[in-house]
Amino acid sequence: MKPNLTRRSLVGSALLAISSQAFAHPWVDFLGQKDLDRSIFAILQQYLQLTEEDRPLMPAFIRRLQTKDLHTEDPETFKRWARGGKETQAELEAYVVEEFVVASNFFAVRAGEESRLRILPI
Amino acid sequence: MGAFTLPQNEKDKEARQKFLDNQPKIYEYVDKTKPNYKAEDMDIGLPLMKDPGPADANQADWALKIFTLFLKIRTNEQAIYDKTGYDFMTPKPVRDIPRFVEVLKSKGNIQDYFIPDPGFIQGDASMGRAKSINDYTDKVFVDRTPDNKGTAPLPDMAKVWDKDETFAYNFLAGPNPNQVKRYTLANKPADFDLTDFDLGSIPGFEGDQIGAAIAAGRVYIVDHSDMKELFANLPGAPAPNAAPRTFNGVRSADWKYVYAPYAAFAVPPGGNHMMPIAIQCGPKADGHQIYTPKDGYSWKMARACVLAAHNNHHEVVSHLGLTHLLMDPIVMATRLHLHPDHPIYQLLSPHFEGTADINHGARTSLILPEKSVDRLVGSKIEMNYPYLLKNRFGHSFRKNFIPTRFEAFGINDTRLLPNYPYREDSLLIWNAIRNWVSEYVAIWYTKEGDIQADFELQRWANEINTKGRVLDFCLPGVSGVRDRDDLIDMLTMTIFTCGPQHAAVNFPQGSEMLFIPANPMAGYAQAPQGLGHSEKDFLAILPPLDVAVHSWAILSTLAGVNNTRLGDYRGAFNLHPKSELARQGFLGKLRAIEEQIKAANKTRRSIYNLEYVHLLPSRIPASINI
Ligand SMILES: [Fe+2]
Repeated sequence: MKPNLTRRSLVGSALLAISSQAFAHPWVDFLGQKDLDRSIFAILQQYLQLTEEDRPLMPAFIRRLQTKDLHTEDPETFKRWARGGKETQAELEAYVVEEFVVASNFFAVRAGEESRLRILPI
Repeated sequence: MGAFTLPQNEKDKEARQKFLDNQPKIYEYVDKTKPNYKAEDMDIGLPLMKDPGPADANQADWALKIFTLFLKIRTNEQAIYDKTGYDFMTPKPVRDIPRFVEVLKSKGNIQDYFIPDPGFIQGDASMGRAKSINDYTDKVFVDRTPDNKGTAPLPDMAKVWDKDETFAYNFLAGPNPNQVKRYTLANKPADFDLTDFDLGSIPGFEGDQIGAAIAAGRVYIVDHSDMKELFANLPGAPAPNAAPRTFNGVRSADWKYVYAPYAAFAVPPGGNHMMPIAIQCGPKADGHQIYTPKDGYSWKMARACVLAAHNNHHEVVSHLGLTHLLMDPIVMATRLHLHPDHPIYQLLSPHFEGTADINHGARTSLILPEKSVDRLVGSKIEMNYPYLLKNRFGHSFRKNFIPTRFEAFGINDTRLLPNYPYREDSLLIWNAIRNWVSEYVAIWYTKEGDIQADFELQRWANEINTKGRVLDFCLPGVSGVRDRDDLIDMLTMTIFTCGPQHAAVNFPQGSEMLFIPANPMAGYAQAPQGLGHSEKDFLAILPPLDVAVHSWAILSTLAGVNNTRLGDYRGAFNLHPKSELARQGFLGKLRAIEEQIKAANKTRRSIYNLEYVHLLPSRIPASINI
């Protein structure tokens, strides 16, 4: 089937993207969306060698960490570690690295089955 | 990869042969007599692939599944450490970036990182023995919500494990579901003679007589008496069938036990399923008597002995020996002798995805002393190797074709032995696979002469029969493939073993075996002697809690990775419309079988309070990869 992209569906999906991003970060007040994206990306860059072109994956990944049952810590714990600065940096790093590996197509990219990293659909 | 071609029709015969000539450099059998052999290659005396080659890796979806699963299993393990207060020898598994990165680079042990064996519970005079049956739920399935969710939900088996119906169910739909035979006057073991047995005194059999029941073909037996070969006969041990429990060089003060029991079952006249009637936990000469369902806790202990032996046999023989390790030389021969453009290579290769890889892991880690198999089964680890070899080399490929085996064992009559879920579902799938393979063979071998002219195929079959030591892979007096029917037989059994048979022995580990009193793999006290046993005696024969915890983690792993699907060939036939059409027919048949099994499961639930889901086609992987 050919993709049938109309102007209306494009606008629709843009709106959806905006609203889901706003929904994604309920504690945006504490950290700031960009700060959180930046700190999580820095961790993944350091340990899993993510590159600049993977940076746009951060909102979707962080959204996953706040969705019930998709990860091994509850969203409150993640929030505490993300806000905890140096004291909780080690916990945050270990958590984020393990979770990214299973939240993304990391293994498929590593095996050469896919070329670009992406967050797996929920 | 080009279009599929039989070697006799190949245009570039030279290039094709050159490719095949190079394969022995990539694919070698592990062989301790070779100069490049290293001790860690673990030659256990079987023809196995030394190192998995490029075609034998699991795909990325496998890695994703096992990592996701390990995160869940570790969560419950952590909860066990936190909430039980047990002082295990191994520290609680925690996140550790450097170790995790090593695991990702395949340089660290993935199992040791996520779910290490906890080892013994220290500082406990009872050596971690359960104080009540509830300990096996409360101290093991810890991360479980009141509505039975979380990372450690209790399987349905935990509700019905103690019933005699469930005991019978284990032999009809459990982890080792093809060991039942009809008991006849001609085949009755001399040491387990039931001809004078008082059947009428067994609840549910009032008025019935053993002679009439045997004559009618309503009596069945599971005979594990040859497991005496697993007795270690160690000096200083409390019994010939005892073996020490060791972990990290530390010896626990208690012992584990393997048994060599008989269990008899009968179907009441007009009954709709078999029930256990008698158990003898070992040879009469060793003082073992017959127990019946009237014997209270002595009976429960006898049942536990039978299950411990049956599940020890399951892991060593039925699961490892007769699926994983039986298929390994067939994978080898396929890589060595069939070019990837060969239509039979393309048919088989998806059924071998990840097999050599997981077998390599099992051989070089899981079955070593003090590793998981040693920790979980009753027999001393070194005793398993000769028993495994005997069973693997003595297993006739052809006598174990599904319909052939059922007939030979006298268990094919649905009237005499009704509601045998494994038999019913496996026959449906066997026939569907045979149909699919027949159509496929007819597409690629349009006349009988094509088989004889296919020198790659002839070498392939010969390799399996000779170097692969798969008994009766070739017909008597034939050194390769005789004709199309013969090839159809070989392929049907191979595909059935890779898919449904492995599914049938692997996935019950996560449903029937997870709650350990339901299906222990070892005993932890001597078999009962005399009568009048108590709950305390029964608890003493069940596994200690360190075993229960490690068993939960390992079995959750083995049953938790369900990757690849029967009927999915990863697009192999995209360029071959006739083959693809036949495959679509196979998929349609599998969908119909799915509905048939779902309908049958309603009846099974009404009888056993359990459903047999392991041969639902939607749950059967294409290959052995876990
Ligand atoms: Fe397996």
